[in-house]
Amino acid sequence: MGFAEEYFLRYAFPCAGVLLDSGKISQKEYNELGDSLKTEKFPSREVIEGYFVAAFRRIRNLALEMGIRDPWDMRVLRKYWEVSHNDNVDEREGGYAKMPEAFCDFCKVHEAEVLEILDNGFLLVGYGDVKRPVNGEYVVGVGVGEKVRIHHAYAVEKVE
Amino acid sequence: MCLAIPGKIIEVDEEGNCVVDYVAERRGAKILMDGFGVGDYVIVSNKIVVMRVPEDQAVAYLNAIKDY
Repeated sequence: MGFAEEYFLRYAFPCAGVLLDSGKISQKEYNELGDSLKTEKFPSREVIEGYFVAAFRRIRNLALEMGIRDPWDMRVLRKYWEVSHNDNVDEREGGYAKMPEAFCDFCKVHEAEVLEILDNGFLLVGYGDVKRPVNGEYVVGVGVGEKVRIHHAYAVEKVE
Repeated sequence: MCLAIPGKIIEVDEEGNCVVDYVAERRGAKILMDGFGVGDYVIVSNKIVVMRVPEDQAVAYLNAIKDY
């Protein structure tokens, strides 16, 4: 129960700081979202869709293209975060239009190799010619040489 | 949309604690790896310096969002 919510929010929560900064969600709502990833007591799907409006506009379109009725179907969510989201960024769709190249790379999902275990629960990861630190709290126990999928400054999940 | 605001590192101590200057405020952050120094435009996540942004891109972006 709640697996799709957890999967979506692990990828999406790093963006919630922007929703907070722009006043679209309150500090209380932001904290509750972050806590829900620890307690696994997630807000309703309706509430989550209300926070991540642009993402769910894209996800619903993707579900239609895939011929799947439920936008929370894991096949849709996986395709969104592993493929479509990067395409949306590359196409500079919607709010990505004015963003500098370096930010767009930051917003994309990358498969990266763990190069070093850093302090504070962070990992040094590498992809292409980029090396940068990411928060490792979702992939505790991951080892050097293993692959993780990263979004923003988070390692979201191990690549199996 | 996912978005982050770049800030400029203006101070670093020997333990990697740094001060990042934003247009409206200054915030403390921590550097965990080599390669970041005073004068770099960076993105900070959870008080950790996580990425450098080339200066031309950072400055152009900060100018673009100045009026929001």
